[in-house]
Amino acid sequence: MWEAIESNRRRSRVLIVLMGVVLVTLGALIGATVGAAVGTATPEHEYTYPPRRAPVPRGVSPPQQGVFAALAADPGARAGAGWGALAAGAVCLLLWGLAVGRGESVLLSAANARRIEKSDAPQLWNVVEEMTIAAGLPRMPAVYIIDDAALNAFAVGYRPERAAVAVTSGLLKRLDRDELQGVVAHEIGHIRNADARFMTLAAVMMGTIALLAELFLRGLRHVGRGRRSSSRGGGQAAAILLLITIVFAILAPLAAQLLYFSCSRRREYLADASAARFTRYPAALASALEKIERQAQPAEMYKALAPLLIVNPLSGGLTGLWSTHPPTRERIRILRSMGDAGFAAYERAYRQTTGRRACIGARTLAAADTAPLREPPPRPVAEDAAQRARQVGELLDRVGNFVVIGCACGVRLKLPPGDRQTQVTCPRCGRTHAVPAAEALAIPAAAAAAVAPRQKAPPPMRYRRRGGGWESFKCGCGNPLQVGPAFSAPALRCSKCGARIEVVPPGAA
Amino acid sequence: MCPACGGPLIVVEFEGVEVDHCCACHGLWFDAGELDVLVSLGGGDAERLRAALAATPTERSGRRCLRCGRRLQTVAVGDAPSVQVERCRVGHGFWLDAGELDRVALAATGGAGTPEGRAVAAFLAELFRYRVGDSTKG
Amino acid sequence: MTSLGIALLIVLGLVVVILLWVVGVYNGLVRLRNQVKNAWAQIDVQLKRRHDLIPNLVETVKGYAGHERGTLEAVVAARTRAVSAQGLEQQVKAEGELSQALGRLLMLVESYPDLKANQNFLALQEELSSTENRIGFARQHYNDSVMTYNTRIQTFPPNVIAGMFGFHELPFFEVDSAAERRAPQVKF
Repeated sequence: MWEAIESNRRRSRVLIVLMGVVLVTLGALIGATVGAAVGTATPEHEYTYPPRRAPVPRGVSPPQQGVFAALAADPGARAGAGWGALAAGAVCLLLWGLAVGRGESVLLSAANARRIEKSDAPQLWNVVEEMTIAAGLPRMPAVYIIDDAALNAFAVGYRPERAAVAVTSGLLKRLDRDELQGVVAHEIGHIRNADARFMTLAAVMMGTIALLAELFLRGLRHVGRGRRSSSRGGGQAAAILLLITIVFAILAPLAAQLLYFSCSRRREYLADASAARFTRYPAALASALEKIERQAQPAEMYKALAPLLIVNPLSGGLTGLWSTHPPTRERIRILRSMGDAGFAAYERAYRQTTGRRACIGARTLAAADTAPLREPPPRPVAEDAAQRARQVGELLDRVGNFVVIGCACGVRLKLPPGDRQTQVTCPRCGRTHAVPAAEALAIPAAAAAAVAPRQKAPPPMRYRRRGGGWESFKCGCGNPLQVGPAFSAPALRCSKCGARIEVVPPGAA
Repeated sequence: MCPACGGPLIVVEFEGVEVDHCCACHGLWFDAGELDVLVSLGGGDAERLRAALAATPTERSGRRCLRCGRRLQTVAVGDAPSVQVERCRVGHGFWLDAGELDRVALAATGGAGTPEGRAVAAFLAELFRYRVGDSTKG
Repeated sequence: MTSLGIALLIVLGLVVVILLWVVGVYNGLVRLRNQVKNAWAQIDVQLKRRHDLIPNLVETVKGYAGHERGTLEAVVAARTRAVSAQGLEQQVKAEGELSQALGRLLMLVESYPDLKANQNFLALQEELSSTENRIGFARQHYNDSVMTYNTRIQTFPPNVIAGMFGFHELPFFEVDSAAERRAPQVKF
């Protein structure tokens, strides 16, 4: 099953090597150019460093006029090439060391993520643990929550042992358990496929290439004005070398980015396929992606994290070759058209949907495993039209200032604002509820004004326990709640509206 | 406004399904898909119910759809004894008079003779056990 | 150096390469087998976790539905059988029965709205449904691992090494009764 990682790893190595070649070539070219310029100015200079990397083909003899010949003839260029390649490698190593050592915490704190324990969000915690088991990870990743109404999630971790999964609080609120499971499975898929490790390395190399090219092109503008190249035999060659280096310095960052992005997109598909494989239920991830896609564009702070997030929030005009993520619609269509939950099914769906060829390694598919889909969740889902109508209806209810009465038998009664009844009978249990007069007549504008600040800071609710036994009380939303003798937590959450209610023990002040 | 008696309607929410309920005549309005959800929650076959409810209309009713205001159609659901329910012409939903709910459920799930039918009827009766599901009081 | 010496060196080199390859394949097989073992241990951990949750659940339900004695006792009895089950076959059977008994208990809870609103119960319910999920996922991971392992020791050339060092095919964790297969989907 996990040859997917193997083939992915091989592909990644090729990519890293390619990027390395670009990086070292760029370093060598810049070094040679600078060396040639300096060497031309002071030909008698002694170079201590043996020119290791001067790319001189053996057959080229000195009299031939050409770049290589000029390089071979010019000790400055030769040494410069060596030093340049070495420096490029060193800068890359340094940045990489920083990213590996401090990467996770930097990313997590940049996103304002706070680490949670099981008691803070038991369901999220359980879902992460379930997916850890499904993926067979040696240990559960740390769980973080980002207090943000936007829907998103990401995973970091250079090594699986230090991995972390972060989700936004908006995601927790808006997704049901199956959808949350799908999203967490996608993130665990990234961890399982060692994506963070690879992406860190690739990002660092890409950054180094961009940095070097930028430095060289900037420096050129300053130096270029001051000095004329000498009329020595190497002068013409040096000019050609300079031209090649300039072109390379402009193209290299673009090439690196293209490589990086294509690999990043592939990894998104692979994480989707892994999520389907873990949960055996691709429709849940598809519906989560639909919800995430429907949201408004989130804040700027995600820019640096974009390649890591489950859905790229900055996908504005950036599609195709230049985006880190595949189009969300395409991912949804692939997930929805999967015949079973295996990798082969994902590959088939991928081909049908995109018209492109393989996205998963051939060796994985050779195993041709099938994984039957899980049965749909126990709760039947209404048709899409009805569901959409209900979502709109709920929104209207809230805006339209319905009076909501929670009955003890479990149903909720919603009275339209125009309703002038003073009491209402529950159709289920026959209890009679008085309609709170003030609320029934509330002015819509005032209610709308009251809603906005309430979402930011919900009013603190407190329940003081009367004794140590079974006690029931109502949440502000009308939902009946009960605590038993064994209840010892300082607070609980309403099962309907999610509001936090502090529970004060009987003796406390 | 209740399409049958003009009384006030309230929304009753249970298990994520919202049903409009008339406080005066205890009739029920189900938006498209919601009755299916309730019947399958009770263990019934939603497909079968949908097929039963898609029967050819017999006549135009004097009542109007809650959502679009078009006149409702009367359809006979199930065979002897069949239940007359009103349906929106363009598919917005169904209006059931008091006492019709459990009979629709029975008719659409194989009748009182089958365990499935009994289970669904019992589930719905439990859900609306006060007046609504009870034809003698309604 | 004589031609004999060169031939000897080549043979020696080949032997070393083959030895290295054998070691690599052997280690790979051991790694896969350990993965299967870990996956199996995980199933056990989760089953144990379910056993631990049950007394708490029964206590909570008792507070509301104490008179549903039959169902509650069936759960307790099924748990006792599952805890003391010996051998794989018996254990699978006992766990299946426990799943069914739990399913019945949770169906029964449907008719106690007060119980369903109880915070302790809701927390337990989440734990229980998560545990059912975990058992399912652990089983799934076990079967995936077994498949990888079995495929590896059946294919050439690793099958030669597997035969030499006694790596045998491992059984899948099959769930035979349809009821047990449905059990994790019990509506919570």
